Amino acid sequence: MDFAKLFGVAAKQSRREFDTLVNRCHRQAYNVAYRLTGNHADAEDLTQESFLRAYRFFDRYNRDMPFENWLYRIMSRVFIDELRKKPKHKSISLDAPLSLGGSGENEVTLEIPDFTSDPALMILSETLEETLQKALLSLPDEFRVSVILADIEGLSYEEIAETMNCSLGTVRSRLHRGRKLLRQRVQIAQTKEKLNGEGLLR
Amino acid sequence: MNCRKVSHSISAYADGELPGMEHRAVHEHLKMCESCRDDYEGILETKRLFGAMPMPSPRSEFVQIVMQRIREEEVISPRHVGFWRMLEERFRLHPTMPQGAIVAASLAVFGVLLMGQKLNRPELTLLSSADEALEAAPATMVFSEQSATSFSPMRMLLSQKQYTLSAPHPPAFHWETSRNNLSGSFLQQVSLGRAN
Repeated sequence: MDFAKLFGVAAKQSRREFDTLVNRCHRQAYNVAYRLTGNHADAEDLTQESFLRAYRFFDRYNRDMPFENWLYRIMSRVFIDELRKKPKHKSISLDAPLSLGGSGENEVTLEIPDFTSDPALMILSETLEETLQKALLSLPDEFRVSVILADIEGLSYEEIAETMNCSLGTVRSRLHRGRKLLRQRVQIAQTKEKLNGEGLLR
Repeated sequence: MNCRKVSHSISAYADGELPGMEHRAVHEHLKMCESCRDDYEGILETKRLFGAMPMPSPRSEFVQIVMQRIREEEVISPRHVGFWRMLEERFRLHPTMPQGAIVAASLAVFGVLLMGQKLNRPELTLLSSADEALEAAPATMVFSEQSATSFSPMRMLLSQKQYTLSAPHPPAFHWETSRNNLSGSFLQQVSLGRAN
C-alpha cells in the first residue's frame, strides 16, 4: 500500500469533483460576474478568483446548499471586498439610516438624486442591454448583488439572505430600493433616447 | 394598508415573497389604488427587463484556465488545498520509509487504542438471569464473593451482592453479577482486567 498514492487519489478525486462543478456552472457564474463588473476582463478575474477560493475551502462546502449559491456567496464577498480595497470607491451605506433622530418608520435613509433633468449626463443612442448594464453599474454594490441574484439568477429571498449573510428584511429592502433606482435609470435612458430620436439633443 | 406601506412591500409582493396576510392586504390595495398599481407594473417591467438580459459567454478555454490555476496553486501552496493533499505532501517527504513499517505502526497504534477502549469502557452483556450467566462462565474459574473493581459507571446503578469469578493467575477475566434495583432485571458485567 502506498500512502502517498492513496492520498494523491483522494486529492485527485476532490479535484475531479470540482472540475465537474466548474464545467457545470462556469457560464452562470461568469454571467453573474459580468453583470456585477460590466466588462469581460473583470468578469473573468472575478469568476476565476471565486472558483479558486471555492477550491481552497472545498472541504468546508456543505452539500445541502446548491454549489452555485455557495459560489455566489464567495463571489459577492470577493466582489465587495475588492471594491472596498480600491481607494477611488468610497462606500456609503444606503441601508443605514441617517442620524437625524428619526426611528422606526420615520427613519431617513440616504437617497440618490434623480438626474432626469440634467442634460449634461445625456448621451447618444445605446442598445437596451448597454442601458440596463449601466443602470446596474450605477447601483451600490450590495443592491447590485441582490438584484442580480434575484432577477438574473432567480434566487429566493432566503437564498439571497444566506448568500449575502444578511437578514430577510435587508434583502427585501435592498431589492425594493435597488429596483426603484434601476427603474429611474432606465426611464432616464428611455427619455434620452426619445429626445435623441426627435433630434432635440445634439 | 396605506400607500406608504404598500410601496415598501410591493417589490416583495411582485416576487411572491410576502406572508399570506400581507400579500392579501397589498392585493386588495392594488385593486383600489391606481398609483400603487403603476408602481407595481413598473417593478414587474424592471424584473422582466433584467431577467431577459442576454447571457455573455466566457471564452471557450475558460474552464481549462481555471483548472490550470488550481493545479498551479496546489504546487505553490499545498496547505491551502485540504487535508488529503497536505498528507500526500507530508508522506512524499519520506520516500525511503519502508511501507511495511508504516502499516505495522498503524496497526500497532490502532491495537493499543482498541485495548485502551476495552479497559476503560467494559462491554455490558444483558442476560436473562444470574444463573444463566454463571452457567455461561468458564469451568476453570474459581467462584469467590468479593467486591468488584470495575471502571464502569454502570456500577453506580448496581447494588447489593456482587459476585466475582476470577482465574487463578492474572491477567484474567473477572465476572460480576448483581441486581439492578431500578429495573428489577439482572445485569452481568464482563470486564477485561486484573482480578482483585
